[in-house]
Amino acid sequence: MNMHNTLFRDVHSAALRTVHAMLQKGQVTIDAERCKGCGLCVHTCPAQSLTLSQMVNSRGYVHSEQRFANRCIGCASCALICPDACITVSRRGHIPHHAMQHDSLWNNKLA
Amino acid sequence: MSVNTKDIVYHRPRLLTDNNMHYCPGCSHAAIHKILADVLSDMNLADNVIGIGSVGCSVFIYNYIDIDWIEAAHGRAPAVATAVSRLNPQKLVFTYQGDGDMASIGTTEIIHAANRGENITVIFINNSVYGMTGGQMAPTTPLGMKTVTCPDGRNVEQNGYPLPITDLLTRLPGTCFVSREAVTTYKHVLHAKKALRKAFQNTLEKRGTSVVEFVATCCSGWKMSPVEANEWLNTRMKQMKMGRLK
Repeated sequence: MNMHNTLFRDVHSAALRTVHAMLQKGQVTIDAERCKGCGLCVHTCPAQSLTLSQMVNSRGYVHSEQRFANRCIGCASCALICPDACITVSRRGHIPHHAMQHDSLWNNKLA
Repeated sequence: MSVNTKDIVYHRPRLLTDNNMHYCPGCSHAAIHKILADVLSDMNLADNVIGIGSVGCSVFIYNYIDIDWIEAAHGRAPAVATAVSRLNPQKLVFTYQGDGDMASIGTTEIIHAANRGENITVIFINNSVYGMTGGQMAPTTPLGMKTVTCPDGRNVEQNGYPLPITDLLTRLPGTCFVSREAVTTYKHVLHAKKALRKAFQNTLEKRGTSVVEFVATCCSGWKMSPVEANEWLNTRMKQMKMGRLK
């Protein structure tokens, strides 16, 4: 029974993730090493998709991350306001390779 | 996953170098560097432009934007730009100055360069304090604003009136385009890009001096967080005339 519950939960959450990923319109990639954690992107995002991370980068700054990726509408407000130009915005499902190389958070993006 | 350039909505401007900027978190200088690099690469001017840096926080601008730079003495950027633009009439010449540099020590140079109508673009970053030295009162500090050297707020009896240098420059016949911009919201960023493009276009067409003032924040000098500083500046901007002044 327990096994069935776990299986159901896994399948269910996988389905939810798929639905969320389908709803997602934009993809934000943040160069965490370059970010200084000023929070302007978090403040300006109209969809509340970005938050400040609990982690710090190698320079000791708390960096921003896209915790709620499915809310992103791809408007690039965050990228326009970012003083240090560490945000790349693309349409859903198309992530620039050069951005992937820098982004340590990429693997957790859809989790 | 293949990269389709059409699907990228925004990427880092190609003219910005890989160096990490030394500015404080949320500094307007960095945002204006980004706009500048964006506009220069959009206009395909990277090989055809000479920038004149100034003294202040932006003194290391040559490390961040990949074009030709000359570093001028404190306040003397318009004088250097005059020489460079007269010797290289085919190049676009612009200066990048803060308010301590342009409105304080370099007032003579900017007034006379604008009065002569030199073919230069002046990018003026007005954050209303001396940011690099720790947030002291500058000539552009508005009345009532508290700084390190006027802890009770600037008052007329002791400190005099703030110097509206951009408004003074609109009165000179040598200037062809004067605009006041900001980078506190994305709307202002887009508007500032247009103004900068217009100013560069005027300089390329040899119409006279173009001045683009950026009302900027200095989070460290104002002792505010970046978001607070932007909000404060947004409320202050309602009392100013923004956009094109001439």
